[in-house]
Amino acid sequence: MDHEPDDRGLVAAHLAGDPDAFGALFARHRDRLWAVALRTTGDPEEAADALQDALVAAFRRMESYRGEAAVTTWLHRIVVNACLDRLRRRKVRRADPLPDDVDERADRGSPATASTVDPAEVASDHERRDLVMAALDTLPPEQRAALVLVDMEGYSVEETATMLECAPGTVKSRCARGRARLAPLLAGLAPGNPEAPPRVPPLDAGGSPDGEEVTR
Amino acid sequence: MTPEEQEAVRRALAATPPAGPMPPEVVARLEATIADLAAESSATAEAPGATVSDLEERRRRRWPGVLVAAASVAVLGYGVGAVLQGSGPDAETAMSDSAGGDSRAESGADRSSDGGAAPQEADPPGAQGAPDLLAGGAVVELRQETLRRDVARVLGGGRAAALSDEPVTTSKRYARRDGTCALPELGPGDEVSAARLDDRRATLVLRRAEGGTRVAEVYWCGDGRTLLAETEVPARR
Repeated sequence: MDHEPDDRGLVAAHLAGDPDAFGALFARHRDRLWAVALRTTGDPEEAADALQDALVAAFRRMESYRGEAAVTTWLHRIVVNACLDRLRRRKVRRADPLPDDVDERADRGSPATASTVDPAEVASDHERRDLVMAALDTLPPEQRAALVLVDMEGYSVEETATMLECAPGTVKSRCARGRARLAPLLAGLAPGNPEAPPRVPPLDAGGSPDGEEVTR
Repeated sequence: MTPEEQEAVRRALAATPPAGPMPPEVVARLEATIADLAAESSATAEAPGATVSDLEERRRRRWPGVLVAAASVAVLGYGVGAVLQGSGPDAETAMSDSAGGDSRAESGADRSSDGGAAPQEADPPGAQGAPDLLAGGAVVELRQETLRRDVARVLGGGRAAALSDEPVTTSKRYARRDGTCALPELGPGDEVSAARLDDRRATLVLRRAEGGTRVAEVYWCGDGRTLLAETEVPARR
C-alpha cells in the first residue's frame, strides 16, 4: 500500500533533489492557493501571475523553510505576499491620475458597483461573487487579505497572522476595519437580511485613516 | 460598528460562493513553470562538484576563447553562420559574468521566507557541448499581449542571431546569462534569441523569411519543443 508523503516529507524530498516533489506539493494545495490568490487580487490573470511569482519563489527558497509553521501556511504566506505586491503596484498605478480626476471617479464609484444593486437581481452566484469582489476592491490590500483569509477562507486569526507576518491583534484590527467599510456595501448579501440593498461605495481616494492599525 | 454588524459582514463574506478549482489553463501554465524550474535545477545538479569558485576559475582560464567567440559574432554579424560546433565545455557559461545577472527587482514573493537569507544561486554551468554564442547576448523581454510588437522590435534591432547554416535537430542546451535552456529545432536562415515570455524563460525563434513575412515562435526553455506563443511579423529589418 502506497503512503503519500506528508507536506514536510515532500519538502525534504524536494531539497534532496526529487524533481517531482514540488509539483506534488503544489498539486495538493493548488485549489486553496488559487482561491486565496483570486480573492486577494480579484482578477484571474493577476491571481495566476501572483501564483507563478510565488511558485518560483517557493521552489528556489525552499531551504529557507525552517519548519516552524505548517508547510501550507508557509506557502500561503508566499502567495499572499505575491498578491499584496501586485495589489500595491496596482494601487500605485491607479493613484497616478488621482489629482486630476478624483472627483469624477468618486462620483462614478467603482466600475463593478456603479449603480445601486437590487438584491432581487443578485440572484446568481456569479453576481454575488462579483459584488463581493467589487466591495473587497475598495479596501486597502492588507485589510482585504486579512478578510479573505479569515472570513472567506476560514483560517484562524493566528494562522492568518503567521501568513501575513504580523501580530494576531493586527489581523483582528484589519478585519474589524475592513468589515466596517464593507458593511454598507454588503448589507443586501447578509444572510437573513435580503431586503437592504448594497450601497454605492465612494471610491477610496487614498489618505484614509485605515492605514492605522492596532497591534495587541 | 456593533458586534452584530461585524458578524453580518463576516457571514456575508463567508457565504460568498467558492472560487472553484484552479482553471485548467492556469494549472497547465503553473505546471509548466514547475517543470521549467525542475529542469533548471537538474541542469545545475548535472555539473558534479561545480562550485561558484570552480566556475569563476574556469571562466578566468577561458577568457581567450570567449573573446574569440565574441569577436566571431561581431565580425560576422548576426544572421551569418556562426556555428554550434566547437562550443565545448571550455565555452560553457561564457560571458555570463560580464552580462550581469537577472536584473528583475526582487518581488515580495521572493522576499518572503520562513526566515534566513535567500541562498545564492550559482550560474548554471550548462551542458556538455552546449552552444555558448547566446550567453553574452541580451535576454529579450516578450509579453503575450504585445508579442507581435515585441518581436518586431527584436527583429528591427538585429537582436536575434543565426546559430547555424545547418539544421539543428538535437536537443542541445545552450548557455545564456540566466542559466541554460533547450535549443529548439532550427533550420537554415532561422534566427534565435534568449527570451523571457511574461517573465518565463523561453527561446525566441524567427523562422526564415517567406513571402515577405517571418514566423516568430516562442518555445519553453525546459524542452525547446513546447510552443508557448507564435506570431508573424514583416520580414524587413
